[in-house]
Amino acid sequence: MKNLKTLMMWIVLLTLIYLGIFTWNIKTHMLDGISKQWGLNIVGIILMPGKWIQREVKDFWFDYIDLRRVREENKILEKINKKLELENISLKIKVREWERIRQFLKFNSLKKWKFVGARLLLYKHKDSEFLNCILIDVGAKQGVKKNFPVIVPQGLVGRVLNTSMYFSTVLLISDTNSRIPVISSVHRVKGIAQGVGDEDKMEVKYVPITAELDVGEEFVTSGLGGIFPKGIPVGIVESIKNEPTSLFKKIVLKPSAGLSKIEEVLVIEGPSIQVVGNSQTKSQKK
Amino acid sequence: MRALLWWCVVLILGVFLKCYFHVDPYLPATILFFQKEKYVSGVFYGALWVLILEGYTDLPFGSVLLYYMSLIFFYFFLKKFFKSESIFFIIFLSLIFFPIHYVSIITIAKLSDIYIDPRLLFSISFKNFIFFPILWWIYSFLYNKYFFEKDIYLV
Repeated sequence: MKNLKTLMMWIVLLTLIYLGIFTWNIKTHMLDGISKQWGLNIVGIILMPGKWIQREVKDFWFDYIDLRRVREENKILEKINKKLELENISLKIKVREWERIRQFLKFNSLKKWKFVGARLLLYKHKDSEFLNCILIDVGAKQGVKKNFPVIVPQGLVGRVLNTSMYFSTVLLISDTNSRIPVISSVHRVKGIAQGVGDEDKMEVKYVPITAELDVGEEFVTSGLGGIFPKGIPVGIVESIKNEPTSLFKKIVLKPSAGLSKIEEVLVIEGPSIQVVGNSQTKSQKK
Repeated sequence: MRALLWWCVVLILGVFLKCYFHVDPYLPATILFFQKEKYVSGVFYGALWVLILEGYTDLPFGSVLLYYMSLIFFYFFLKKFFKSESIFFIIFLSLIFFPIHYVSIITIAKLSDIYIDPRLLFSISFKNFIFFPILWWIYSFLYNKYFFEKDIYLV
């Protein structure tokens, strides 16, 4: 009986201590901050040498293979180069024209964005971690803050979830907890892109069944919500279904960024909400 | 000094185990401290590892602390009925760890409005349940062999 009393006392005491710590942390986020600093920095520091060796060995090996193919590639590249030079001339003319129009409309320029380059240290895979995340080697020291958008040249990767001094975790757009306001590039249909836990698949929700949309059309960030700047490619429509019981279309996207292959990313610094009006998309360029 | 070096090795290996094999590498080590009746070290290293794991995980602070506290409680509770040095005690503890891990993570995720796939969480909890006695045995074996001679804790 005495033992049972002591046991109950311990249960109550431990629960109270835990709830005290938990609620205090929800209010102050103090322990969140300390644990992210500790956890991410220690994990990053331990993983970095291994990753560096892996990268160096890989680079060395590919440099050697590349060297063997260099002559054949040179011939091909010379041909491509001539073609690109011609293209470049016509594009320069177009850029000058576009610059004049942009000045006229006073749109913000891509050049105003600040980018921080980062290397991927760890891919927290969907089969083993709770959230689809990546660990990158930049943190608060490099000016990275929570919710900063992360991109690759092909498209959106995600947003910064947690930061420590030198490392950050990025919530990928493929995670089920990720929701991005998007707009289609041709028909200007708005919706919310949501991950489904698969790195090659996403869904666009809340697009009415009456909306016009084509397979192959690209969805870009709409700029609403204040986290992602407008105009970043998110994904390409793979399939569209009209379900009889739903008011909305079932749209499946293929992420533009190729999430499973990323090695380096760019973190967009600064208040993204200011970057509006930059809505030129691939399809419009065409 | 030797012990500190040993736990540093455990720390580094633990990070690799967590990142690439996705199991909790530190809980068996914390339990080992308690078995050796090194309570101050257990609390010190345990707190350090909770901070690391809480920082590494994508969930808000609380889930790792919850299952560490629960398991330490069950350690002392079971100790009243079983011999803590027995391997069956550890297997029994890992059996308890399985639902505790699942419930504590799902609770924190629900409280934080984060969706976690229940099947995925189940498989991670199951993996932890399998690896817990194995890791404990490895830690215990190495620790006994290199730090406490003739102090075998398997039967």
